[in-house]
Amino acid sequence: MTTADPSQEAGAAAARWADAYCAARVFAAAPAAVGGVLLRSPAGAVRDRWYQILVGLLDGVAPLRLPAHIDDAGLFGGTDLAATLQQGRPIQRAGLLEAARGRVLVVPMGERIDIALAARLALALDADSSPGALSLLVFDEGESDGEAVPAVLADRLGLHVDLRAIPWHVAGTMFDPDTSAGPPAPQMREVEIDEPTLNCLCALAQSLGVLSLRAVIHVAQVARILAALREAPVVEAEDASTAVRLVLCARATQAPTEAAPPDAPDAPDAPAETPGSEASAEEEEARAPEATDETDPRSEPQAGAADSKDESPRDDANGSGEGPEPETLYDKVLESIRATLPAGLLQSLPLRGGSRGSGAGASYRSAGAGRRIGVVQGRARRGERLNLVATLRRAAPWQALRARERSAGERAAEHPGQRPLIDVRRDDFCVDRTEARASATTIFVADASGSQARTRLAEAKGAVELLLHECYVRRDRVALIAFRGRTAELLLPPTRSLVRAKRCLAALPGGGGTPLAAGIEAAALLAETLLRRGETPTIVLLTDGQGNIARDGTPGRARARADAEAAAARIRRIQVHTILIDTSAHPSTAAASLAMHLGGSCLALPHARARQLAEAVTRLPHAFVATRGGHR
Amino acid sequence: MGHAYPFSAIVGQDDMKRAILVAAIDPQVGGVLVFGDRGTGKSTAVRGLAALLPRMRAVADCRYGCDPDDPGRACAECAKRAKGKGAVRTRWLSVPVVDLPLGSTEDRVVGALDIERALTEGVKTFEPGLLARAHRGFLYVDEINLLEDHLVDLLIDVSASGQNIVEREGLSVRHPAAFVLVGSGNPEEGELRPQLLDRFGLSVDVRTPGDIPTRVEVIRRRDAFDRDPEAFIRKWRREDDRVRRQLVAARVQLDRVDVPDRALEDAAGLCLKLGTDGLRGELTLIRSARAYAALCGDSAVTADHLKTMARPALRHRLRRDPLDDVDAGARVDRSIAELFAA
Repeated sequence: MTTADPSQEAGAAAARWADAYCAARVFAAAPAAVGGVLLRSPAGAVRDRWYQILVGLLDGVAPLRLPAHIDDAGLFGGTDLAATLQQGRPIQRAGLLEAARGRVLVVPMGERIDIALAARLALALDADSSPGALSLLVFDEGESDGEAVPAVLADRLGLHVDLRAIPWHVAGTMFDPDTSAGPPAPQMREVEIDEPTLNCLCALAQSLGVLSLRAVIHVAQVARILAALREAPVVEAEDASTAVRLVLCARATQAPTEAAPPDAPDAPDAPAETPGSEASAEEEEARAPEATDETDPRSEPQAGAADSKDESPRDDANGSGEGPEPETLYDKVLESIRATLPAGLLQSLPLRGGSRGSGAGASYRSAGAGRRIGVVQGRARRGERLNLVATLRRAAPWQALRARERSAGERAAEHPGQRPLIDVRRDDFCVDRTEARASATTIFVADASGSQARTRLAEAKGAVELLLHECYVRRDRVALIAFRGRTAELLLPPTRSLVRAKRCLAALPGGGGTPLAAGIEAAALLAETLLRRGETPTIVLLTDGQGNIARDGTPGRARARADAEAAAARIRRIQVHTILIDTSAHPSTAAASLAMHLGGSCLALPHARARQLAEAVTRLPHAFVATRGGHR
Repeated sequence: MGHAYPFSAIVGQDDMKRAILVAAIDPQVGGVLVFGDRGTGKSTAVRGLAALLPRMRAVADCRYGCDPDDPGRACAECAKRAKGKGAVRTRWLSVPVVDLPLGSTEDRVVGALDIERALTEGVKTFEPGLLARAHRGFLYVDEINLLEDHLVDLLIDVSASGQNIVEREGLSVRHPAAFVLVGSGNPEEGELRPQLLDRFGLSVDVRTPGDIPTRVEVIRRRDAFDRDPEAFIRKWRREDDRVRRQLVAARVQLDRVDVPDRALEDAAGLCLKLGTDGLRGELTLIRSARAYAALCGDSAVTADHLKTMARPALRHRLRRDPLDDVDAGARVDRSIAELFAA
């Protein structure tokens, strides 16, 4: 990225901002059909600008904001407990979801909402997607890939907009937020989308590695909206390209592959220009009724590629203007994506697939679960249980006083209302305190470099497998980081699925240099994310301590060692329990000194006695957790 | 609310549709667990099925929607009403589908003391929870593998017994809660404990279709539905009606389907071969095979019915190493092939 041409960069940023503006227009035109927008951007002027543009396009209907710790009653509506008790008759409170019908609901800090709230929002989106229903605007300020909006919600948001690399001078000058007078109501229903375009969209989605079918449905809808905004009757290539950029590119998990073109003869105007594409689109429509024989709703359509293969000789036979085959449409859209995304982004896509955010895999901790260990004064929030007896006990002594107050007030009031039997005020509420077992995650950091692969990687893998058994018994989660070559990679985000861990481990290849510092730093990053969520991470590092690649990827033993020690100090600072398993052939001082820097313990991997090792390792974390209290 | 997507218009996913139909025919089979990726139509199938089932008659004033023709299962209030004089007023109710969101507390699920009435009027009344709402319908639990264990236990208990017994905060209430439990989840995020898995009747695996034509078909149908739901529903009404007739007929025929000794022996042999724990596997296999035979309109259970239902009934009950990643379904298929070839 540092070697990119600055003017090219500015052009790319301008194109991205133009896309973001387009997304705002699409969303404002049909919010409920799209479902919502996932806006990845740090808080700042650029995001505010985009938000202003959106509000302008929404024609003055201001969006509502979702409070972060809203409970079920606030979302879905229910009795307002305090008002009820005060007035003596049931007072209902309309829920936020009901109030937000037909408007946009803004969810700030989307990467921090807990998965229960995300599930409820997803439920609300599923329940009704007709126009006039709920639509969401989720702000995602997450920095690392570890913090992401839960997948259950992200899947249902149609547009994914990324404002992260857009500088202010680009955002501030293009697209004045006040000029638009609201979009014309597009007749989305009448816009046609033809078969080859649908095939192309599906193929693209698959090649970008987006597996969810919802995403492809959204692409089709957004393409329709774009065509309607242009007041065109049919979806064309530019609509398809824009739709793919807006919906799929942010969700891509692999770099797109070229479609294998059939052996079609080279058409003279194969890179079709716009007028040619329009003509071809009409041709496709004309040919489509001939191609499909049955109109039975259950018949499977022909594969797009097969269609074109059969039709390309017919094309030549017709002689009437070479229309682009579906493959060319595919290529055209592909080109438009490539041209817009900066080169670095495409290269980073494979890594994103590995650390795909722990949205739905995050462990769910309910505030009301666990052992009851006491009562504390306060209002009941999500999951907490009101302790009736304690509440009444707190209110009891004040009854006489409040009765006198009330009778004095009633004489003055116009609507006395029903007299409550027990006058309970807001301050009297008591909730139960619970203590849930802190979830523990074991982070395995495996040295998969060439030196290890030659000697003891297999044994290390065996030891880890035994440790996985222990994790299963304790119902811990496991995560797997491997380092080799020049970087470290998070192969498996924290998951409870041990089968996946085992598969990942078995497939781990060995070879390359030993970027020890990168591995330790990746572990530190993950541990910090887990600590922030209130979980207890443990790091198990399997290495021989002989790093030879420094943090920035350059070789050099001395620098590598210094970098590794610096990264180790980071782990020691956050006080995460670390166990270093020395996989060198003979116990070495390098490993021992690294363990000291980590503030953890060092165990040698004994030859052919992996089980002893597993026992030794599993005893330690429990002791450690016990001394730290293990409570939250 | 919106229209429900027609059950018959779901592309593919025959295993899942069959399992849900079987569970709806014979609730004693137990719940259905659907494992698979997102966006594969799991909740759509449940909602679609509930929409195509005929409306039911329920007692007019009853909070739980008791069946006036089934006095054995009635709630306490309906039992009192039945003893009283005069005919009981009824109303029509569509089959309920209740979603259990993740993070539901026990209060909301089971029901609790009606606090404001308790504090304002001093009476102890029961405020029904989600289980009461799901009576005579479906309870769909998304991400069941992330739900707390004691809640999953509770759900399975209630769905097996058909009654919800509440003993808390000075209340002692018992009300009917007979529903079909459908749970879905992504196994990559963690599995249910084996004891809980075993108590689910059937389990199916759904995959996002991998080939382009199927994907395009799914999108095209969904697109057509979104643009004009009523026309789409009309187009698929014949298919839906056919499914409804089959289901209703199957429910009536269920008791008359014969289970020959040969079928019982085959089921026992299969379970022995696979080494399933406990006897629930065989019971479920026989019950689901019988329900499937009723659905097909056959009068007796044959080897074919057993073969079709063996995989959903048994693949989640095989005792295995927790780290073993061999697909359990493949083992079941192999054993079926060996047993029935001999």
